[in-house]
Amino acid sequence: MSDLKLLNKARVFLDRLTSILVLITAWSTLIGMFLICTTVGSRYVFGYSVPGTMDISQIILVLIIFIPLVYVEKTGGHLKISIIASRYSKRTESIRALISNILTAIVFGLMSYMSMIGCITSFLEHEDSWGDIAIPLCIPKFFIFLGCLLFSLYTLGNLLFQVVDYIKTNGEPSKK
Amino acid sequence: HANREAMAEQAEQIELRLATYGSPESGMVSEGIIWYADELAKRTKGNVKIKIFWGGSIAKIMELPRAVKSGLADIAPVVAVYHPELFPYVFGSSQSTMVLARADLGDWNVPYRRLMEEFPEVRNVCEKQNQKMLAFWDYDRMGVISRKPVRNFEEAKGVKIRNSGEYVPRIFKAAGFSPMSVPATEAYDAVSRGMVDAIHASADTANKYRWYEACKYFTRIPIYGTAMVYFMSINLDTWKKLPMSVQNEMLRLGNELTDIKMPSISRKVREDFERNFKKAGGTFFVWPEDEQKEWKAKVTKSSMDYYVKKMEAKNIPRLKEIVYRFAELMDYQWR
Amino acid sequence: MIPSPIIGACGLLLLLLLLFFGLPIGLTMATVGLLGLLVLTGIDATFWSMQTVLFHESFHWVFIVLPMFFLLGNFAFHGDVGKDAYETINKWLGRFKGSLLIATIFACAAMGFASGSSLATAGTFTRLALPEMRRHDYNLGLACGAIACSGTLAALIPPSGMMVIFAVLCGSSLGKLMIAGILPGILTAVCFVGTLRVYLFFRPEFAPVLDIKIPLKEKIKSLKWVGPLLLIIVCILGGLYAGVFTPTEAGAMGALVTLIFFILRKGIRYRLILESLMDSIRISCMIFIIIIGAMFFSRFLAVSGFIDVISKFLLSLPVPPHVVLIAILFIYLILGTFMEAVAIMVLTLPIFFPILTKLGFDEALIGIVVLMLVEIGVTTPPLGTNVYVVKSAAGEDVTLEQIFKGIFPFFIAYLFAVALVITFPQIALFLPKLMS
Ligand code: NA
Ligand code: NA
Repeated sequence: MSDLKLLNKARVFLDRLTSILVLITAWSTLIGMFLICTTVGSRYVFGYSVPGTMDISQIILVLIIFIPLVYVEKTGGHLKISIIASRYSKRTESIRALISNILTAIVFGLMSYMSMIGCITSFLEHEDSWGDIAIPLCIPKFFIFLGCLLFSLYTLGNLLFQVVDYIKTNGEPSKK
Repeated sequence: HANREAMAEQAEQIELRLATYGSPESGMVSEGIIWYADELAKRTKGNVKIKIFWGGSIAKIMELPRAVKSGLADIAPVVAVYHPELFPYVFGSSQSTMVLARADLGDWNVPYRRLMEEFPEVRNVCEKQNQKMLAFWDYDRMGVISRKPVRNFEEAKGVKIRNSGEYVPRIFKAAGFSPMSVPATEAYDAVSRGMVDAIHASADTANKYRWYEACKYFTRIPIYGTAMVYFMSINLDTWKKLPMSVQNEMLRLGNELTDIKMPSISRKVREDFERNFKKAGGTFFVWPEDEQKEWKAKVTKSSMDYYVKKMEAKNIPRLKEIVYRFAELMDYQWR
Repeated sequence: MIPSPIIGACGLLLLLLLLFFGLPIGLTMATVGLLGLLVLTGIDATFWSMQTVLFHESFHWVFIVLPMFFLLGNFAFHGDVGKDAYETINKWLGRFKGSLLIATIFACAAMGFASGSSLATAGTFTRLALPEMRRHDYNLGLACGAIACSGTLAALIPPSGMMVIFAVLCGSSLGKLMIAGILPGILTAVCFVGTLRVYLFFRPEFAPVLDIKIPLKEKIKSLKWVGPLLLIIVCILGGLYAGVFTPTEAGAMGALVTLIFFILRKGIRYRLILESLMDSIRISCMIFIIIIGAMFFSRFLAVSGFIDVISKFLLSLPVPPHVVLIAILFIYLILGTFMEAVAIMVLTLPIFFPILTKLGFDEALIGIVVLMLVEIGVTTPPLGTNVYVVKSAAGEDVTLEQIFKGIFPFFIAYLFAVALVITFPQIALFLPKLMS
């Protein structure tokens, strides 16, 4: 039981971390918008483009793509074709969900692991962006790692709870 | 015995994956690799087939050296200048050393081979990335293609010019231009609508993106020589598995590509461009001699030193020594 | 050793199986793609692909246009820009069958002159137009289908990111291609309206007609409410054609202009702004994860050589040029069902383009026809990115299946438009000839 409590605590912590990151991403999008508009304006008026606009916008884009993975899952889920799945019995549906969760945890787990290696390699190699200012590429690579990791952990948590649920109810599909 | 037979059969039919960007039609790199693949098939009597994956379908332009390293691609043409951290000595420094020489197509080959003999760092630059260099070649002289005449410092003042990277904008700024970064794919739109007035272009890119449709003036800036930018490499593990005869054939062909084929393709592309440009009603200019000198004096040393300083911060061994030695081999006169 | 094209075919089958089983689309495409790469290229290359595809498909300047246009759509939604405009349209044309749908189709075509991205336009108009059509009891599937298909007009009408990709891949003139796209784009919109009217004849309940007569005075008074929407489009258009910004930057500029309208209308309301931001990143994340998954899958298919084998077989048949052309069109339609648009062009054009030019077809004509076919593909199941973006922006009230059903009349219209352009190449080639 105490294990479960610890798990719950970890989950609450992850939830909080994810929501903060999503908030940061949301506001970064607005900042990105202003940044691009500033460059457009200053190029038009002064013939001067703000250095790094493209690189910074790209980093923001990386945030936008990878940080909200968990948020999307919580608000309606990632897109799937439900033409057959919508007719599943509760039992089949729970199997589908189980497979989906296992795959997500594995694939995104691997992706986060590989992105971590990519991030570290990039850091050690001093890999910079090919723009008018050189930004270390380990920064966006770190965000990819982080986003995939959070998503994988979140699904792993769901999976654990699903299994615990399954054991508790002796194999009957849960109400949820 | 059966095993050896199977191996002999395998040795007979080898298919190698070559990853590239662009398409068969898109310029000198494509032409060069098609030639290499065809010629290799011909000379090995069809035993070695290179299958080309166009348009970044298995790896995009920026991914190519690492695609070869990982083995996703067996062979790829690498735009080395995009990866100074991987290929720092000559290829990576190309952007900063372009101003060094008045080199023309193929002029870099002998000095570069010399450099490989003298420095193991240069020799092993590809091995360190788990690949073997087959051929290398240069990027043609670059100039300014523009909507209005830009012939000298006076006319360059405030001209919005599209270019990319970290070094080239600094060089153009020194001549009074206002550098803008616009992706190559949007440059056509940008220049035809007057968002930028000029593009830093070579014959190859001007042809490929058809910038000559929107720009009527091309100014040659001979402070720029050609630049060592490309090489073609093969994954080292794949390489080691190839029979000796095939290896030799590939190396021989690579040298031919480096020394004869690529310079001649580039020259042809240059002539094509000149013809196309004139047919489209374009005019060529040359930057005046004295201003060339002044410009060069302003940027050469600082551009090189900037590069050296940056790379030294990245702990690249013997960088300054090697780059300076190369300059010497290219007959650059330090003042 | 199994030949790699067969592995490709098996991968495709597995993909379809898992997709219809109901696994998340992006995840499924990534999984099958990675498994295929593992079989064909080994573990090192597969693991490396994992990090590099994630990075290079996301650290990509041109894609920033998507979240920005979604943001524009959300600001417009919360600022009642769409509501007002559609209210006016309804007052004027409400007694005309399907008026809101027709207005949406033409508004998308107009937006096509301002936006270079099919996905972005579809996403924007889902936020702008769908709530209004919902309020007037239009069939949601049909409404979403109309938006998903009309969004593709942005790729046919300049500026267009897809045109740039085509021009670079084939080394043909971007300038000519852009001008060539205008008339086919408008023609396609007209075909949409035509088939829509026929469709509504059989399904009148899908688009209720306004049954009260509105006095002219009120109609005229309401005209000013179309203003903001028109102004936003005109601002982007003006900026683009005056060379103030590029099509990619247009997204951010449009979002800024819309935000200003929003603030003028409702004041600085942090909650609503945050809501818009959150919704934009949600839609972006949903759609990008599918695009990235599709990239894994298309890399696997490329390595397998499956498409090469199929195309070379079809083209080796001894048949006259026009049959070859039709065979190629057919291949594009099939590929469009399960592949991402850019990936299709990258994989097929190096094979098809030389064949088609050798057969004597004009480069610009080939470009327009290929673009039309590829854009049909973004609306067809199972992988229809435009439908996905509409679904992501529409929320829970409508299912993917309903939208795919709603595509049907427009799919027919699209085929008809393609047939017209092929039969009368002048539709594409007239304007470029006039300009040169
Ligand atoms: Na457009
Ligand atoms: Na499709």
